Amino acid sequence: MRVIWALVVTAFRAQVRRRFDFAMGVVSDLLIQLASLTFVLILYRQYPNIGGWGQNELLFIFGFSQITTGLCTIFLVPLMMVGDYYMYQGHLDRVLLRPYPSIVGVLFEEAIFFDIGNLLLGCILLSFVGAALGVWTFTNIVLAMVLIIASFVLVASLLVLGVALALVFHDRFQVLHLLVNSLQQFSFYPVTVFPPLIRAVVTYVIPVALSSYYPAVVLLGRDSSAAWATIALAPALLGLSLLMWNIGISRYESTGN
Amino acid sequence: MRYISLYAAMMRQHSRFSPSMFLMAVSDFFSLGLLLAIWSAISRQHQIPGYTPQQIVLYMIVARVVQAGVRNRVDRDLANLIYRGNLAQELRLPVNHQLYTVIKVLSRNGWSFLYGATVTVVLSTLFIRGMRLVPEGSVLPALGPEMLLGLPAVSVALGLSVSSNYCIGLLAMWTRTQKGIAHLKDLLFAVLSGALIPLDLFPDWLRQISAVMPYRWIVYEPTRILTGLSTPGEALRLLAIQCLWVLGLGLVSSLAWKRAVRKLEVHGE
Repeated sequence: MRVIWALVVTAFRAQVRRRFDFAMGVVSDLLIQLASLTFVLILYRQYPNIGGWGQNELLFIFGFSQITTGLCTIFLVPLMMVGDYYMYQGHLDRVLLRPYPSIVGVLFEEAIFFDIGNLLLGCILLSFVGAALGVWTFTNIVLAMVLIIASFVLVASLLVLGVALALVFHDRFQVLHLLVNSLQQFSFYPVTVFPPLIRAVVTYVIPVALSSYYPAVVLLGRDSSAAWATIALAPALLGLSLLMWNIGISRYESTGN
Repeated sequence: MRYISLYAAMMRQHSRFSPSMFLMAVSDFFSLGLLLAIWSAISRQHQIPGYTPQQIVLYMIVARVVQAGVRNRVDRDLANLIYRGNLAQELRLPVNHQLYTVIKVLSRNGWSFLYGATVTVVLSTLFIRGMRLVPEGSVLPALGPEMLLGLPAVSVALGLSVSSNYCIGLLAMWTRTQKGIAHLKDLLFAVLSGALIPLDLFPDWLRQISAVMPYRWIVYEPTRILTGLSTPGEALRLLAIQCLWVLGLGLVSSLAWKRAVRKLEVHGE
C-alpha cells in the first residue's frame, strides 16, 4: 500500500505541476459527462416513464452507474495503454523490472487523475435524486458504500481480465477490454428495457449490470437478492483476473530489437 | 495532380490501420445498439411525435453512418501541431494547408466510412431482426431516390465538419491549450447534431440554440434527407443552406489561418 500511495502521489504531483492544463482537464472531463447527462435528461423529461421506471428512478440508476464508471475512469485508464504502449512498444519491460507487482506499476505509474467528471456527476445525482426518493436511511447509506466498492471491484476485475487475456493471446487491440467498455454503457439504463438476449449478456456473460442496475434496484427497495450476487461475485472475479494477469505476464515476450 | 498523388499516398497509409478501424466500427456499434434498444423500448410504450417505430430506428442507423463519414480529428490534430511546435514542418510543404487538411481527412474518412457503414448496416440488420426491435411483420423503410440528394448533403456535411473543426483547432494558437474547447465542442456536437436524439424532439429553447449552430447541418439534416423525412423541395433548400454554412466557415477559417500564421513563433536551431 505504501508503494501504491507513493506512486499515486508522484503521478498526482506531476500532473498538478501544470495547473492550467490540470484545471482544463477537469473542466473538459465534466463537459463530456454533461453530454451524456443532457441526453438522459432530455430523454427522461420527454418520456418520464420507460419500462415501468419513473424519471427519478431512471436518474438514480444512471447516477449509480456513473459512480462505478467514474472510479474505473480514475483508477483504470492506464489499462487502455497496455496494448500499444506497454505490449507493442515494449514499455512493459521497464515495469517488470520494478520491485512491486506489475499490475501496480501499470495502474499507478501513468495514472491520470483529472477524469473525475463521472464520479462527481454520479455523486450529485445519487445524493439529490436519492434524497427525493427517500432512499437515504442510515442502513442504505452503509449498503450503498458496500455496493459501490463491490461494483467497482467487479467492473475493475472485468477490465483487468480483458487486458490479461490480451496479454495471454498477444492481442494488441484488447478486444475483450473494448467489449467490456462498450457493454458498460448498457449499465446506465434499467436492463428490463432491453430485449431478453441483451439482458442475459449483461447479467450473466459480461455482468456489467451487476455493477449498477441491480445494486441501484436494491437501494430503491425493489429487489434485494441481486445485491448479494454483486458482493459475492466481485472478490471471485478479482481473484480470477489477477490470476489471468499473472499468466499473461508470464507469457509476455519483449519487443526485442 | 499534386493533391491527387498526396491523396493516393495517404489512402495507402491509412489502409494499414484497417484492423483498428474495423474494431472501432464494431465497438461503435455497441453504443448504436444501446440507442436502438432504448428508442425501440420507448416507441413500444409511447408515440414518438413525427416518427414511426421503424423511422426512429432507421434514423439512428443512418445518423451513425453519416457520423462515420464526417467524423474527423482536425481540431485536435491541428491543436497538437501547434502545441508541440510541429506546425512549422507542415508549413514547409508546398501545399495550401487547408486543402492539405481536407485531403488528409478525405483519405482517412474514405476507409472509416467504408468500415463504419458496412459494419453498422450489417450488424444493425442482424441486431434488429434478432432482437425483434421493430414491430412484428413490419420492415424498415427502404432508402429511395432521396439518396441522390442525401449523398451530396453528406459530402457538404464533411466539408462543414472539417472547416468548423479547423477554426476550433486554430484557437490553440491563442489559448495555448485546447482540451477544454475541444471537449466543449464535443458536448455541443453530441447534443446539437441530432446524433442521439432527433432535434425535432428537443424542447423549444434547445431547438432554437441548435438552429444557430453548424452541427445540425452535419448530422441531423443529412440524415433526414437520406431517410426521406424531408421532401425533395425541402432537401434542396437544406442543401443550399448547408453550402452557405460551408462557405461562411471556410472563409472564417481561411482568415483565421492567415492571422495564426503571422502569430506563429518557431524556436529551435
